[in-house]
Amino acid sequence: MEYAPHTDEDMARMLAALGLSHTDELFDQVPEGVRALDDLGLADGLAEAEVLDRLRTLAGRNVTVDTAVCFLGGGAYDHYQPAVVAAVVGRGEFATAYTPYQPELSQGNLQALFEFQTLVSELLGLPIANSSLYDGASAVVEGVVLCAAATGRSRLVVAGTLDPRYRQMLDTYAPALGLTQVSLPPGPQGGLPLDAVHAAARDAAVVVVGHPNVAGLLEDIPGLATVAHEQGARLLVAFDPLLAGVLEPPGRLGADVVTADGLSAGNTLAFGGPGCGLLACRDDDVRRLPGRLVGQTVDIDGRRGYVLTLQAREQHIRREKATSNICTNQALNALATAVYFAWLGPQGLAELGQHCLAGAAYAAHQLVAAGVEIAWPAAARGKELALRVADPWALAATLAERGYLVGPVVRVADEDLLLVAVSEQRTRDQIDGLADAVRVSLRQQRPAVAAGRRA
Amino acid sequence: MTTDEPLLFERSRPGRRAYSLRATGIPSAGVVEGIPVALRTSRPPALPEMSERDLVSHYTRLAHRNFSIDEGFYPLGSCTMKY
Repeated sequence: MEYAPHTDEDMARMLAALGLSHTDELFDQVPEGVRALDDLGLADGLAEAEVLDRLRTLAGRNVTVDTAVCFLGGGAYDHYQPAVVAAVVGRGEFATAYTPYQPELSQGNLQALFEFQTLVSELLGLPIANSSLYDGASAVVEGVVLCAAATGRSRLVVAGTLDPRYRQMLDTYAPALGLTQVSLPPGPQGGLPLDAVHAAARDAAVVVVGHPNVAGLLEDIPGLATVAHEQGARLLVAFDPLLAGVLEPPGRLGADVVTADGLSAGNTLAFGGPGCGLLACRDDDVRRLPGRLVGQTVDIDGRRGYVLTLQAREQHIRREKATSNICTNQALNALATAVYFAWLGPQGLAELGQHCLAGAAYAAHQLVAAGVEIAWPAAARGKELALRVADPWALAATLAERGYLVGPVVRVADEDLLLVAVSEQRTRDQIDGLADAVRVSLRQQRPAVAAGRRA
Repeated sequence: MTTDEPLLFERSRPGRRAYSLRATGIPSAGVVEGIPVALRTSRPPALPEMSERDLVSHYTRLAHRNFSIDEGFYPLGSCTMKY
């Protein structure tokens, strides 16, 4: 694409209108000594075809979910992204639309985001949802800020089984926001023990937990809500909306704020983004809700229309009075997520969840048979397992050589666990292949034992 | 800008579907029974039921209600400069 399309005639006309004779005069206000050199030392530009050649060469050095069997977990998953999503978000009217400050020009965007909010509200189980945040991690941070403001407290109780990247983001924001944190390790069954949460939640603003947690295990959301509320604390749950067809949304189980990540729901893996963050809260928290909010109204002719609303929370307000500062969203990614869930529908979402659960259960069985230990094997899980092996990085590397992608390695309660996620894309044959590859890899890591058997 | 387009939920019709999922070869009937009762879904999620044809027409009509840079010039500040 030619980024500077002006012809000599275009420029002559503009200069004449300005009363100038040369474009150099536009920079007269820049002191002589700091004006740029004519030669910036850049190579000549390439033609589009040459750029594509170069990018294809680079891309050819990447392993993708099309060239290897993907069992990667930890927040970015190989869920199937239907063609209709790309067809919709690729439309110029959506892909090149400006932010919807002028509702008269943006009814398409605003209605699509209003629909997105309604879908999120249903998937997370609470009545109010914003039009998206950056990602799941920042959604947790924003939810925590909401709970601190709502309770007037500044202590956070954070599950040690929360996604480590989310914990890292909380570590970054908490000191600057005057928040302190205490981390709780998982109990013997892999979930947060209710008595420990109850004790820690005294004077706490919020208890933060993942459901499923980073090891793929389900938490006792109703129990956690009860013990948190008994201490006047809120419960924030980071949920997986792709399991909302088999798991009850935490908002209907007592959670006060529910967040999620939309990367694998309509968006592409693309090195980890961009995606979008989802956040839902209760009606009486709406004035503390961060991020953009689309509301339904009527125009002067009485026709239904949509606008950005309650903007004095963060946009049209003095900085020190603002409850948050997002003032944006991931509009195109949120649109992709909305199209994705509309494509799935209630039946598709239920089937997808069932496939994931069945796949993870089958994988657990086959991997144990292959000689590997699963962390908390008897606990109820979603679509991920955590493997307990002597050298998780070596196993992951060996499996990658054999065409199976597993991981990442996550640190949970002083252990390094290797994650294996099973999406609705994974087949019985692929899981059997993974188990065989694990069996062979483990044998290779124990040559002394093998030699002993041969003797 | 063209005429009003109903919401996704207003275009939903019971039984319409767009999705298809690959056959995994792993039976999944009854797998929900492995989830503790208190955590199991209590009802199907209230997502719209639409065919892919419905989805495409819905979002195409919404696109027609959106001005964009592909269509014309936006004389706005910092975001225009970044673009």
